[in-house]
Amino acid sequence: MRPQATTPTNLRRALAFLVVLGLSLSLSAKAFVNASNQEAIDEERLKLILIGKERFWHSGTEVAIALLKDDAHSADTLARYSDMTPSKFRNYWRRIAFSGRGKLPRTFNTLEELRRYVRETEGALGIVAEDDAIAGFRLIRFEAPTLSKNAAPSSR
Amino acid sequence: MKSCPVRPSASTSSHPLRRFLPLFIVLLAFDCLALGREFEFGGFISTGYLKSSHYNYLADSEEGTTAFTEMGLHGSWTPRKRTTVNGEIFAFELGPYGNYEPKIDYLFLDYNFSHQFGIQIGRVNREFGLYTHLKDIDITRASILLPMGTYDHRYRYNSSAVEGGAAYGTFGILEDTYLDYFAYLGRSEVNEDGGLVGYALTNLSRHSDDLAICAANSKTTFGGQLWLNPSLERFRVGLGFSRFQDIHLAADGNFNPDFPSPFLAGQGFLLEANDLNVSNLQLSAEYAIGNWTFVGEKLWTDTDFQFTALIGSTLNPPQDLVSDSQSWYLSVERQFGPFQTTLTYSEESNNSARIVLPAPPRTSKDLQLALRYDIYDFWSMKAEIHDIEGTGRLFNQFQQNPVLDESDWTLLALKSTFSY
Repeated sequence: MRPQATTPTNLRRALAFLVVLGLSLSLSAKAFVNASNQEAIDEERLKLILIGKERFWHSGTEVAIALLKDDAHSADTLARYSDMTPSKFRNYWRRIAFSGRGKLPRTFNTLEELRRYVRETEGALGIVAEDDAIAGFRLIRFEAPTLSKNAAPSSR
Repeated sequence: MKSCPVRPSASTSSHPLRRFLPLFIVLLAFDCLALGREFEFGGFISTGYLKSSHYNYLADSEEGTTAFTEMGLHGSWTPRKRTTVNGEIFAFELGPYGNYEPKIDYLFLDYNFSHQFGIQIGRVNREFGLYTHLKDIDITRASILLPMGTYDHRYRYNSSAVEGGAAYGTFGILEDTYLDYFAYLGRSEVNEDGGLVGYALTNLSRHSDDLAICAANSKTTFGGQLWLNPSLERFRVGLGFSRFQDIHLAADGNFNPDFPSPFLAGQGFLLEANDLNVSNLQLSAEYAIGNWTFVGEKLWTDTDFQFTALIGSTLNPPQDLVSDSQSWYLSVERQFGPFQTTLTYSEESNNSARIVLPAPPRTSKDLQLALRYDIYDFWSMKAEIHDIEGTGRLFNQFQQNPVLDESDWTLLALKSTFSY
């Protein structure tokens, strides 16, 4: 388990921290994108993508979120960046998709299917467990659950 | 007697969007399929049951009815970078409303310059409060029926979408604080058999067995919605405004022989509301934490219009009339694995304008307990019970509630929905 953020500086951060802590006890997940996607992605942008506010990469290609079905690690990442449980995340995206405001995230049964989708889809953003083998893709990894938009992301 | 004015109705006129719609769809389909671009579709079908202890609410619920079906098919295409085309065809039956007539719920071209600014052109979903643009999509919530005074399911076609354009976006305004906006301008539809007309003529319809709408159309509607998303995640507060302008309604018929005024009993009439304007203001708040979601909304509505009455052979001078209403609700939702339960309390009060007769105050209070069970991701079952006080939402345009003789009544609703 990764260390949680420490010493919130005010009540707002304390409450936000408790929300994240309550939803996400394990943060061993990472995101990855198609190799052709060289865009810098910080936490704020990832969050905007996961809550459907940012629907396109800077290149203009549509973001396609890809998840493993019934995967605890994906759930952790969703909880961390969208503050939603998987079922709430599903209903949230149904609201978006059924009202014509975006496309539902794709879910896959196996890691291989997900990797193939991200490899073949220019705008794909895949979310997998930390120890899943992701070769030939660009990884996006964040070390701690900081909710500050000024947090420095670590991505490569 | 003066005959009912036949004016082009919004629901039947040849609007430019309607003329070009089929061509638009074919071209887009060809573009997407031929060039293999991104295409996604989905849909839902649901069937339900309504049973009330008294009165007919929405459908013939006093006897118990299964005339409660909805189906929708939506698609989203991405033919170009930053460009999507989104549409949904929707059909429903809700007692005398809908009749499975397929309608384009929305169909618009969306160009997204950035997350801060995007535009939509076509028949666009009207975002107003939490559920106006989601009214048709019950799989996104635990309850079957939305709070009756704030979101009436019979208003679908005139409230859900407008033919015109919209702008939307999200701004970061403070650290971790975002402001979402959605603004629209266009024309909305007034269906002669729809809920808006039913609501407007409810009182009069109880004194005329042959009341008939002979014109219903509207011109401009505009409005917007702001959402402030403070740093505490999944909490948001919203303020929505909308205005429907220059609606025209006309109805004719004969007053019943037992009409309260002996001078009017049995007389023929032609009533017109011109330049009818409806302004809505809605305050919303939603807070989700873990498996809990708390929601509250309040809606204020003001209506003004010029009323003209021709009764028998007497043309009464035009009158400027106003009415207002308020409604609000609070709800709390809890998820337990595949189960969701929601407890909602709502109230509505309405001071209707006098149309020939003084209108009695229309109020209603509703305590609603809803349970949803997701058997699979694609199949959900719902049940809910309403304990209702008041008759403010009981329409009579199809003579479904000619007499209001009880204040307290209950409603049971069941629904099963498949989505794909």
